[in-house]
Amino acid sequence: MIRPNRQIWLCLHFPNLALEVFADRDARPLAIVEQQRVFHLNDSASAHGLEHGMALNTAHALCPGLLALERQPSREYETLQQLAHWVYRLSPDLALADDNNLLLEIGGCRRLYGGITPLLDLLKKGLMERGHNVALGLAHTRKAAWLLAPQVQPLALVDGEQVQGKQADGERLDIDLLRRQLGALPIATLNIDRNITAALGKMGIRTLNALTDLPLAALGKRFGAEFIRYLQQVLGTHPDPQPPFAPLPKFQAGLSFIDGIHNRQALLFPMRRLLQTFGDYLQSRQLLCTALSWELHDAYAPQANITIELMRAEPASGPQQLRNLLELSALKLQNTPLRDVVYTLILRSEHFLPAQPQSLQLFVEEEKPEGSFAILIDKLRARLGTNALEKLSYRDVHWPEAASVQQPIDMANAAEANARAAIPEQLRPLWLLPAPQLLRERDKQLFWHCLVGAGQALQLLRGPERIGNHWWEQTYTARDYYVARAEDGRLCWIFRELSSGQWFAHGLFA
Amino acid sequence: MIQYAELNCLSNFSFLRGASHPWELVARAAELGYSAIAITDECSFAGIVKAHVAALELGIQLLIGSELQIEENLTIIAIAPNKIAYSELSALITLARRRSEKGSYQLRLRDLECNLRHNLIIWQPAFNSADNIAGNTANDIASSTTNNAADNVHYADQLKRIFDDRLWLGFSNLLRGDEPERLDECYRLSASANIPLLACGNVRMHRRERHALQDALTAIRHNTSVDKLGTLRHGNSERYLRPLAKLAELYPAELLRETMVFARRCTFSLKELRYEYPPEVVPDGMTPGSYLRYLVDLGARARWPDGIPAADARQIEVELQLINELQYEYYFLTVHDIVHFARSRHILCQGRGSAANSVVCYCLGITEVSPANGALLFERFISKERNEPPDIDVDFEHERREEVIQYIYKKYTRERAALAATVICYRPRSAVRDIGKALGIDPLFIEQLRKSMAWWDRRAELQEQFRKQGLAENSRLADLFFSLTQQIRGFPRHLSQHVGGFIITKSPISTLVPVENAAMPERTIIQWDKEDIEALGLLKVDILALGMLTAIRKCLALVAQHYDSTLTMATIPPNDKPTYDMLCRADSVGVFQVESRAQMAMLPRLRPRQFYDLVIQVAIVRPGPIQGDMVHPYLRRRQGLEPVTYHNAAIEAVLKRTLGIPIFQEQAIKLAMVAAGFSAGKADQLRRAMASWGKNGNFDHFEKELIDGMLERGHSLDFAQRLFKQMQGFGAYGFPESHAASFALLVYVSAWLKCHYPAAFYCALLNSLPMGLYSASQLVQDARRHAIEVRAVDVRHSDIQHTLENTLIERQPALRLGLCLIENLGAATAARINAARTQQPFTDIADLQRRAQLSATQLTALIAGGAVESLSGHRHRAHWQALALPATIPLNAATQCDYDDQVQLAAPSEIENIVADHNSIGLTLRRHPLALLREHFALFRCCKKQTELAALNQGRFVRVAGLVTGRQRPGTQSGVIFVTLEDETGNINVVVWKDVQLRYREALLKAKILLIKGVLETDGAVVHVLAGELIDCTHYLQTLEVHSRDFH
Repeated sequence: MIRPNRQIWLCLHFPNLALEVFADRDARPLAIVEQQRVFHLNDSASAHGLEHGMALNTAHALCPGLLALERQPSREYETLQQLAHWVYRLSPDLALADDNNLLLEIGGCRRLYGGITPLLDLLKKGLMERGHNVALGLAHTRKAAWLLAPQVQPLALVDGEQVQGKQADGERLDIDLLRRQLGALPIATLNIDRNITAALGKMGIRTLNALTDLPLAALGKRFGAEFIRYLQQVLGTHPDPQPPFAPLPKFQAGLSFIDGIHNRQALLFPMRRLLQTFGDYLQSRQLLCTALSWELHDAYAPQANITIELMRAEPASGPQQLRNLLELSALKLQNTPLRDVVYTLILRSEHFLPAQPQSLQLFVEEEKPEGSFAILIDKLRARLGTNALEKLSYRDVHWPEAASVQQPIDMANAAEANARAAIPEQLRPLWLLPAPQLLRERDKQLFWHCLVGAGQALQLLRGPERIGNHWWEQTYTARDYYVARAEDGRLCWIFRELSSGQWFAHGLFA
Repeated sequence: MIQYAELNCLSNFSFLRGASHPWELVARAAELGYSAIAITDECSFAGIVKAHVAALELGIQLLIGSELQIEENLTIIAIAPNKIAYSELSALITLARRRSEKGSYQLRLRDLECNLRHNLIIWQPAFNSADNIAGNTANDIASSTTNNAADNVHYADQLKRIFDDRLWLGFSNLLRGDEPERLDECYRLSASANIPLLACGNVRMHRRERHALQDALTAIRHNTSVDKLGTLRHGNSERYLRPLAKLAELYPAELLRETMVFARRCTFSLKELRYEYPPEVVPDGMTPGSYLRYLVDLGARARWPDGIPAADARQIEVELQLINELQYEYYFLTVHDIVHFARSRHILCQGRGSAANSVVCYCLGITEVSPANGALLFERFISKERNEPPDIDVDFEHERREEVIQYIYKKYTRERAALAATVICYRPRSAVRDIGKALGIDPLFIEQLRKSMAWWDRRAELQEQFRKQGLAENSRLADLFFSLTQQIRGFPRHLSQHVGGFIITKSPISTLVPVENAAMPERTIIQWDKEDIEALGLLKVDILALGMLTAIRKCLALVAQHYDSTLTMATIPPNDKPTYDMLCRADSVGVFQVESRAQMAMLPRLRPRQFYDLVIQVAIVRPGPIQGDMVHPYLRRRQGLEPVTYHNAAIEAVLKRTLGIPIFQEQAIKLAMVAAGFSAGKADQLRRAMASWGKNGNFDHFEKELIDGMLERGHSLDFAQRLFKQMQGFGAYGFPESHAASFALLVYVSAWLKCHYPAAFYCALLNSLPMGLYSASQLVQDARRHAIEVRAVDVRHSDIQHTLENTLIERQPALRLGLCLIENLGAATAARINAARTQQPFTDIADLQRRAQLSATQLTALIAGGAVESLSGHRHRAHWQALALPATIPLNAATQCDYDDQVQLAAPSEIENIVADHNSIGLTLRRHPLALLREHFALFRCCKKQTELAALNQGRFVRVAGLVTGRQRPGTQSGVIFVTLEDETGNINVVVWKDVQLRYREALLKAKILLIKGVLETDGAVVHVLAGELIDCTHYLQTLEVHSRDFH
């Protein structure tokens, strides 16, 4: 049934990809959930008896401490793309098979690596370094390799024949073993129309062997030509061409965090991991980058964007360049206000220059690494300085402290998307004090002492306007705001706190 | 002291706008010394009856009105000063609601001009766009206007022209900061258009403490979280009922005084509403009394063709006299009219409720079995002293109730007949979901909290849950979440239709209460629920659906067809010994009401021997008697283990028929009077509070009074506390004697049919599914255990429905399963198969496909269901053949082709067939899987069969195994889970206590086949197993499948 050919197909199957997009997973029982059903589990969740496809209800009932996370299909896709970029360097005959499988032909390139086993070791090591668990499937056709990869079985490999005491051809496929492995495959694992799988089950046909025992013509009559072609492609009796892998013109990769990241320092580790992936990408595409951007998401929406433009295009693949980019990112991050816990971190880049051919570098005066870094930092600092200009803006909320915000101008885009562009309905001073200042009260007369030196008596003109605070953030209280006139004629915004009865100044009208 | 009437309050019946119950607003206003309060929910009267009841009790004037949004910048409050105005406003709300989708409304100024000729109007001029954003009404609109001055002048002229001296300007001081300008604008408008100005508070909550909930409701309405609301929430919490002294500071005195001028013009009270019966139930020239007597005489002659027994004739006179005194003739005639229609269409029906157990109802055909054979007295249920409206619920066959409803709409028209509403309220789970979202808590965590509600009334437990979720530092969030979910619980969310409570009137209903669209197309509901209707003393008829009536009708038809015996419900012989024997054995699968495991456990203990025993049997396994711990005392007395004693003669009168133990709801209430000294009025309040227990705290106020009253009169504290608990139980599920009596009739009828015509009985039950507690599989197994031959579904023999086939030797016919069992086949296809079959027998699968015009899916469904085995052999082969058939074969082409392709597929093993049967039609006629497991595995041979358990000793260690057919956590006993295991001989009841549940959580939740090691508990004929260890044996079945495949 098997027709061997010269090609050797390797399927890289990433069984835990859905989990691996979360950077901070640990031993807690964890389930990735899709449409209220368990999609994937870690070991400790499996130990509680949870299963793939189980309703989330049942899962929680079985494992009360279960942490359920929504599946992140776009993170998974990005990750698989980036893995492909890395593998691309080893074998250009490569394809993304589906959600969590890469397929590559290694018959052509195995000799470059000294045989199949050294190549596989190289792959496994590189993938492990990148934090991925991989299962391998090896067969004479793409489809067979894909089918075998998730099966826990030895690879069908045998040492090559010895010709006069010397290894003639390195390792080759063990056709007998392959035949047995494929024949025992349950019909349910075939990548075919579910209706056909179901129909075969109803007729008592449960393995690939049982299926291939039946006359092809009789099967064709019942299940159609496409199905027959699929079988033939698995077995290798029909060609199975694939479109070549095309590296993406833009880079995007992200990581999610189960518990979220609360401080900037802790963001550096995942940043480093993403920059490493970025380096792989640049290397496989032979590019230099000129700009990159970080996107930080809270639980539901993007909360900040950090863009780094480079004065000098960076290959970002060496350890030094990686460190530079990381430091630049850290610097920018220090100046970025974070509203909330970060649940997702995304790195994007689409501005590239072709890398100079290696030989050219011989003629370039090589700068000292530290020096070039310092120059870059200076330039950036200069730019940060101009960005440090801030502007005041008003958010459409009642509580004055929350309504008035200072924002760096370059951040305006992101922040304004969050804040409704608003004009206050009620009278509001342009300048709000950094913190309310306590007023003195003497003989039922209010004085503001700090108002440009001397204490000035205040006269209430208008009010009160009662404003309640954000009760979900702190104990509920409210303030009665008044417009008051100081002796020198200036108008102030003052309030009496209802809980304490104390008076404060909060702003000045221009 | 100043006087003040609050003229603008939204309750929580302005859904997601108001943050207090109507009665909370009324009670707080009374407490603060307000002179009057208006409930002005937005385009709704849904909360007014609840406010009315509270206002009557507290003696504060209640004004009835509604806030109506007309245009983007024009919102008015209309308040009804008198009955005409009330009807106008009700009709206007109806108009606005009926022309929009459920939940919204539309009005134009023109509508008000035409329809509101007597209402008083308050207009609050819009001042800036903030008014519309923060005050946003249910009909949300985009707000763009900032300057309304020109609009206001225009509106002032228009409104003045329309309403003239019925128009006021409303000013509210909510400390928004711009009040001086607002007041100026109001004075200006008032002067220029000559409109008086008054103060009104824009009240949304009865106390300011509700402000957090108010914000949360706003967030829910906008589908966001509170921190993202911005200025969509109110800037402060001033929209509450403020003390009079504070109001005096906030408003000029003349504005407060004017509210009193307004309130004094209003004299309307809901007490004035009187129900008017539909006149067409009485023919011209007859009075209701004479017509009712005529119908009763006619019915009596039909019921007793040989002459009316003297006792019944006397009873008829007594009842007619009572009906006449209470003027209930129309009510009985209306019910009669509906029942008469049903009977003319041969729709089986049965009345129940307080008035149903009367000879009059028997004569009118409202009930089918003479009350004379029970010890039931009409006067016990209906009396002059208790001025309650009579209550008759009529159950109809569940498959045909819609015909009755359509008849009512047709006869009385949609203007005059409508369904009562059911107020859908926040329950713990919905509260958790919505509050969680409003507080911005992670949706998955909310889901998790909803799964286990163990924290529901324990704050510490909830804190622990938050801590586990990594929200430890945020105990504040947990506290807020906890208190808000508790507050929102019981808040109305929307109106839904009541299961069948109809209200039918003389003049259009909309002049009595607003009518709005229900979610179901072509259905309308009124804005009041059952309690509202009852509180106002209005009459309604409950048109309910009951599956058992369908089954009984079908069974009687089968009996007529196959046994040549014409029975009706009324002619089934009473006091049948074999029937009671059967019930005492708890052989009651399929019998109405007593088929549950709890009822089955009770039957052999209670040992019913006569009709009244069934009435008690039906009522005793209910939350009331169980929570009151009344069940065991009753059983002990019944079994003669404890003397029957009474505290005094008054109590004996109440409890005599139940051996001194209160079983029924009526008895509990009567006891409050004779044992705790409640007045009749107080007892009536108690009854109402009981019905709404759980929704509010009204009921718990009675606890002390009841217990003290009983202690004073020499009753034991234990008995008093148990009685109170029993009343709480009735609150959760009230079950009065009158209903129990009507249900008991159906228990008897269905039990009698099962006992004497079992084949017909099972066939009728199967044809009436879904109903009752048992699946087709369980019914078929029970039938076979009763020696009924059940024949497989087969395209060559089966009809659409299940049928009876005559057998040659047996007296009892065989039950042939119908094509309706085959999933996804559809009635039309089944009919085609049936037609083709009767024309000429099918020769092979191709013939079947061609003549019945089957699609591939339909053919596959038939094969999967095992219905073509007689044509093509085993399933594997049939599927193989079917796939070779061309998609369409011309009708006349007698094609012969090789469907097998020389391939011989192995036949399915027995276990594969069993599994396939279960997966396709949900039952099998082959061996039970447990029988197979016993054959193959020693492990299962150690397990006792269900039939062997009864002979074993109490306390013995046993192993049992079976398919898990039920897991149930009864509400009455905390912590325990009941598991039902099915083996080849019957159902085994397993009790799993909390500690065992925790230890074997996985097996308990996941296993399809369970092996239980435990201890046998027997009490007479009742047997169950106390589980000690649970072993998931599901994989044995799979092993068996694989096994059979490999070694076939």
